[in-house]
Amino acid sequence: MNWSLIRKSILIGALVVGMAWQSGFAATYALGEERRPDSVSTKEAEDLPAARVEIVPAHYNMQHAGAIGLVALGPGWDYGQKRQWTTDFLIGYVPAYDTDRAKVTLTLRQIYTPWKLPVGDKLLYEPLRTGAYVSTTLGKQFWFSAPEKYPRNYYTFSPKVRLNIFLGQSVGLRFDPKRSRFDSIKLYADLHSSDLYIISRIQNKYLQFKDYLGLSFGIKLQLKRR
Amino acid sequence: MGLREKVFLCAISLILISFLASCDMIEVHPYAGDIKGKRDINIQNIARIEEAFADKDTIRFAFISDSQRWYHELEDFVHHANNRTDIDFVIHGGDLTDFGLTKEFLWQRDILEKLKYPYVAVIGNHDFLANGEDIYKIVFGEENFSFIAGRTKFVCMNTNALEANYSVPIPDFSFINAEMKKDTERFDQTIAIMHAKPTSEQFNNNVADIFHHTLKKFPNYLFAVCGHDHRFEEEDIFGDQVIYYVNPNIGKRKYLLFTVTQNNYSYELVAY
Repeated sequence: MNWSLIRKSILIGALVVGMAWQSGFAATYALGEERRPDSVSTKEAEDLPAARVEIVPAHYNMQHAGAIGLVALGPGWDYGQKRQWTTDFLIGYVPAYDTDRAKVTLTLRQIYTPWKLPVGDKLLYEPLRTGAYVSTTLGKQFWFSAPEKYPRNYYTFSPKVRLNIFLGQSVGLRFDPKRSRFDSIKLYADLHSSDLYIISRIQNKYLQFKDYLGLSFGIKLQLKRR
Repeated sequence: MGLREKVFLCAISLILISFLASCDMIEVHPYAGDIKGKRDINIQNIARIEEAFADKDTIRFAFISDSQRWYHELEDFVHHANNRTDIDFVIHGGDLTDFGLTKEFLWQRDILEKLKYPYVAVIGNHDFLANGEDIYKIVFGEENFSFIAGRTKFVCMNTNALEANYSVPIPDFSFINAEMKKDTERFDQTIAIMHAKPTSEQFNNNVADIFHHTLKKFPNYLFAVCGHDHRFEEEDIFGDQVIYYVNPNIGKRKYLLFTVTQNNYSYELVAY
């Protein structure tokens, strides 16, 4: 089996598993509840929704920059005991600028948010959000692995897939639970860099912070947990 | 106000201030193609070269190439060259970028712009990656171009056939043949500039002989200078004493310095 095909399958597999993971959990719990309603006590049934990971997203993101587009939009899911883990999916739009066409990106992002500090009744502060995201750019000129016309190992990177790491913070405003459909709105800022910039920086000290680091900003609309 | 409120206020102001002051650090996409700063460099510098050296008998040019990701080394070359007084202009033999990233083109351009000499750059195979070809065209210009310094015509060509899938003519014989007939009264010797030499895996070797044969129809084809191989080479590829020189990559801190006189030339491999 061809190596590029294996790499492609791993990537697509990871994307699918990432997405299906959440829904899979939800489906299992939902089915479980339907099939054996008598075996679950009332108390247990009440507890179930809290442990459940849902297909319905926990939040929606709208982001500016971050190497995934001028604007990127998409849903995300929270999980873990303190909901400290987040998986986001984003579709980004890159205007054509000086090139002949606009670009579309797809991104899968994993975030770890260890602390959620309430500030008074209304405000919320997350001093650290960190993680990584894999983004792909649609379009033929962005190949996943070098086309077969090239000698072996001619180009050893992929213009299509970028691995980014980031570090950021967020501040939030809680809504009145009686009056709003949403739990809170959060504003976040992340400092990020990608594999190719990091390699360029490590192997040549010429590059400055502003060259290889980028800032991205986003708004996160958190839905009410049911 | 409690400590948490203070920290919260600091955080929100930090986010807002960085948002307002972040224009330099906004990365929309690594291949966004948002070109800030100078464009069309080759055509502007060609005008400078043709004007400044029109009546010069002896032309001396430095040839550098393959500076992808060797930013420090390229910057040191610029300082070194600027300290000399005997160079007329500089030619870059391609591969300014490693990944074809928009920022790579701009970082390299910004270093080269510090040269006190006019310079031109041909396109290398790495400069084609993703949408790099488009960025090269905007920042530097056409892939095939020529200029005349003194009585010597420099024919600069894209020879990276492998990058284009053989779907466009590389090398472009219609360009080469047109150059042969253009401005014939202004030149009587010829130098060829390209990234990948004939016999390279990038070159369309099916036409290597015809390529050389066509260039030999130019008045007094002196020699060719190439990049790509990352080491110095001096090769009489076609066995007729027309030498194809290959310049080391800039990471080796070496460049070729050519001195061209009427009907003759000499060169030096300079380490800095």
